Amino acid sequence: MTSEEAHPSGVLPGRLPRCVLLTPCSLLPTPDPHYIYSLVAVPRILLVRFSALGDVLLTTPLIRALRVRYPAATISVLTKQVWAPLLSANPHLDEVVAVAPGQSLVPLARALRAARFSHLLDLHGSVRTRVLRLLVPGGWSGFDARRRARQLLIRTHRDTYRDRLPVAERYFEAAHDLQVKPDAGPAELFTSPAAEARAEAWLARAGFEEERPLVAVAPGATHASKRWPVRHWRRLAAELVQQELNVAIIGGTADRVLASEIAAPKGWVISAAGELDLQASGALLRRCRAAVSGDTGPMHLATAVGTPVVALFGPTVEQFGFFPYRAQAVVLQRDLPCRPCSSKGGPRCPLGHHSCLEELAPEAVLDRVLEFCA
Amino acid sequence: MSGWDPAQVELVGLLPHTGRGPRREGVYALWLVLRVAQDLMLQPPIADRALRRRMGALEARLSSLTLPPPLRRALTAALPQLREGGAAAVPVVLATLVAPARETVGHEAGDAIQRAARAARQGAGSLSR
Repeated sequence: MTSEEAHPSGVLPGRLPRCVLLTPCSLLPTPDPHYIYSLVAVPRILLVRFSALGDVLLTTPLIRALRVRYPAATISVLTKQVWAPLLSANPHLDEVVAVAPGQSLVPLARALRAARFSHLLDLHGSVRTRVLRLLVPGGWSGFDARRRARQLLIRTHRDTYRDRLPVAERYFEAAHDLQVKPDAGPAELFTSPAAEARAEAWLARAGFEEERPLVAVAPGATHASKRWPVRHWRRLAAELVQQELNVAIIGGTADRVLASEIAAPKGWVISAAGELDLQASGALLRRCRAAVSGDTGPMHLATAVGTPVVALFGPTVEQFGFFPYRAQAVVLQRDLPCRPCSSKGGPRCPLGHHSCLEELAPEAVLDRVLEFCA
Repeated sequence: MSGWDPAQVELVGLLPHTGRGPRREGVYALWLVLRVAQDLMLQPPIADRALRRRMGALEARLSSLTLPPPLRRALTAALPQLREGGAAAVPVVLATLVAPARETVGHEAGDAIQRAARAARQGAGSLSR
């Protein structure tokens, strides 16, 4: 075909079709202005989620979708220093801005203003982020945390949720202008080689029998009403050992006492609580065949590294959006009229019986773990 | 926007040190009211329509917060005063917030509001001259 030969479409190469040139603009379909913007500009995106472990991890599907949609964009996350390791090795991010404990928002706001982000996504909706939204003028957007529906469900047990959207997908509402959609993938934790080495070193120190598969249990929770009773954990650990499995107890420094009550002094149940940082805990979880956890951060940590999870839900329910997200998981929960009694758990069961978790038998949990280990 | 006034900076600086709950929301509410009050004193004054819009937004935001009752009462009383009195009412309104702020949110917040009230009084004096 010579340069002057017509293309099968009837348009000469290098020339616009005549009909398009002559079409009045008012007759052309009006494209979405945000879509045009996305084609011509490289966005500078800041995601703000200060805490906590699970919530920060659940922002990663959105981060991944943003990177796929805008490969050249600058994507930054603002979070608390303590949770920064959850994102520090994430290859989709350009920068993790960490807020130190007690750090004033004023210098931070000045720095953010100077950075001139084109899209500021408030994925928290807290007092701090509201202040930040006023101190840093710009293209802020948030998401509907369904607080009213949640309160109504807790107080009256009337379900007014219009959907069962997981929190990870609710975050996409904040990125509505950026036109990204969930990719059906799970949350992700990327671990550094150093963290992998720390996990390996811990395993070597623990002295587990190498032929036995490893199972993680995470007995801790910030709020007591979300914790499965210690005697159940102890029983489960003993049963797991009987099934020739190694058991590693995962948790933070605050869970050390609880973990010591479950760990067997001369057995295959060894506590890593408070001994490993977040990244190394993730690396350890990756080496496990399965993990057992309540509705807490370690549950999301396990799903983020691809470890199958047996999740024990007590005072909280699926509607809140924190079921294991797009992962191999089984949720065990009791159908009780008093559930849910709280959005985050509390110091004690409001009715005193704590049936939601007391009545989840260790045998049922064991069966599920063995299914994953088979 | 008067975002970097010393009293405002002080209130924002208090937020990370204040526990989650009514106290933190109280600091936030005081900061919101102080921002609007100080903007009322800007020269040239902000347009009536913009003022009405800001007062409406402030009222809506305050109603969604969980505040200690004495502070909520004080703020509820302060808003109509600000709306009707304009710049002249700012020093008085801020002065009336000092005691409830001290009582419910803490001394630091009360002191910040007191300093803002003093600055507003001086500012109003220089404006009237």
